[in-house]
Amino acid sequence: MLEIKKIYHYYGKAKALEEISLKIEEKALDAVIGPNGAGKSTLLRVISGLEEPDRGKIEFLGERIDKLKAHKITKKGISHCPERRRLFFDMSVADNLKMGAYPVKNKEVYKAMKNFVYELFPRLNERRKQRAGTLSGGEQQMLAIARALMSKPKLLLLDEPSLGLAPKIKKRIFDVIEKIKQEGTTTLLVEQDAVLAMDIAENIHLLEEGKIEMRGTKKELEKEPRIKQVYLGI
Amino acid sequence: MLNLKIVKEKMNEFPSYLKSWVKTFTGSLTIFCLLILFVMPFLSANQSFTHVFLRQFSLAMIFAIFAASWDLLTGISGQISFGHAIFFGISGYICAYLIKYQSFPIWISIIISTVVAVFFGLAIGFPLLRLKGPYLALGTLAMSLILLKLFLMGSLADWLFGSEGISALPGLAATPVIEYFILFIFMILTFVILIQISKSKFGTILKSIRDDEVGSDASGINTTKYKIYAFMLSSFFAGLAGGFYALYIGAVNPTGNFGTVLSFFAILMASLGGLATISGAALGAFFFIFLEYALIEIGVVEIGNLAIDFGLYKFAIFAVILIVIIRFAEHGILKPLLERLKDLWDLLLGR
Repeated sequence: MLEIKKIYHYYGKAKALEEISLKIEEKALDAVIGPNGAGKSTLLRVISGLEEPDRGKIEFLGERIDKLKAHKITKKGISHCPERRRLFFDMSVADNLKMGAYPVKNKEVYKAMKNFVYELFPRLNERRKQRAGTLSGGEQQMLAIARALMSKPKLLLLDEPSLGLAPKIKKRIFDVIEKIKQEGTTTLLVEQDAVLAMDIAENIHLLEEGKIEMRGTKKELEKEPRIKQVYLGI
Repeated sequence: MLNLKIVKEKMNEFPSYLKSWVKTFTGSLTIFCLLILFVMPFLSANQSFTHVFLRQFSLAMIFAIFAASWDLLTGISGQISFGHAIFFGISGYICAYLIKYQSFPIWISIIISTVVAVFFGLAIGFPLLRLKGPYLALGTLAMSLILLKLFLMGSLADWLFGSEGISALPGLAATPVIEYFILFIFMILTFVILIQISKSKFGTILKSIRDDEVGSDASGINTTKYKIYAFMLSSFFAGLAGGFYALYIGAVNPTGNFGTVLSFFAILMASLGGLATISGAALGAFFFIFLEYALIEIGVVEIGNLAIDFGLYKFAIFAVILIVIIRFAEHGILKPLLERLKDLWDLLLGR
């Protein structure tokens, strides 16, 4: 579905991504794990068009998208749930969702998506009229994911959904991510919490200092001594 | 695009919507204020009343339109403009030029000058939109200063009527009372349109850009496009106010129509009422115009050996008020004021 071929990205002279190649199959749930500053968020920003890659090619459903602007890429069916949520804090929960559905022109689809995300996150339905800035951290993350889902994406990019959340709420968020995957949305997840990410993802890519160092399924990676030591702490 | 059926439905819903709105507290209060404004000209036929006091109301209405246009751009869309006088002044100049030198009718001149202001909004918005936050504020401020200097001095200025500007323009209407009502209608129209815009989906999109630009980008919103729309819409109403102002004063000159003071007036008025409220701009406009009027009326006051000319120091007083607002009522005084009034009202009714 998504194919990234030898992407390079620099911030000024600092190299953020180096020769990244990645392939995501339809209906898969892939995770990119790695330490802080490895370039995980940059990778998602490059895919969704918030940054333009300096070199390389990105193909989505057989079409090149690496030169497109962010809003055009969203229209093609890639939805990005950015790091630190980036909600519209002064607006109500319902308005946030409405903006998430901006590319959806069909009213029926909009209503169906609204029902879908409210079913996924009943809490948001309760707080429909509340200002997004007054939600708790967990609820804000739910809203961020829900907003990204509203455009009915073919590919969902999730950036650090567990950031700053209590372990119990993290688990709940990850349950929902698994559910989204089961509903058939292809998902690319970027996560620091390797244990949680490896639990739900089919393919795991390890990103370190802008390079993909390792990849494989959970079983394959668990055997690697370095992964064990650094990321799983066994 | 424009579905006639939906428009028709909305039109049918309108009377019942209006009825339910009037029944709300803010609705009835608004109607009450509008009624007061409506009967104001009939209170006295005294020459000094109509030609001095009533004209202050007309001036306040012009500035209400101007401040509301600023609020749309800065309060709702989050694009900070410190140079709103650009649109105000350019429209005033075009309007004055067309009437005086091309002998266009007043209304056609106002329409043309407003359209020109929109083009200026486009032309200025386009290069400046790469700037964000305080940098945009500085950019707009610089742009207005450049225009001011362009009109004031240098070789271009001679061609642009120099520091003298254009004077002896006809008034907006034959009498101050008619002028008052024309501005009254335009003010109501402006506020209805701007408030509806801020409540519509378009307004929600603008607010989302203000709240988080990356977030709206990631949601598939073409932020550049909408920011330019906001600039154009805002400059439309600023241009309208500018055209009226030129005719109200009866003359245009660089400092009077392009001065930075005008941009700050818009900021002062809109932030007194509260950003992103739109109607707060009207409250602020009336407050500051009448405060200015009062300070000039008070004039020189002698305290002991000191003679203080309040008219001269009005800007110092305005600045103090602005600082007090920023410190104690960050979100303006309109909303708290309405809440207090509602409490008082409920108390009086014994609820």
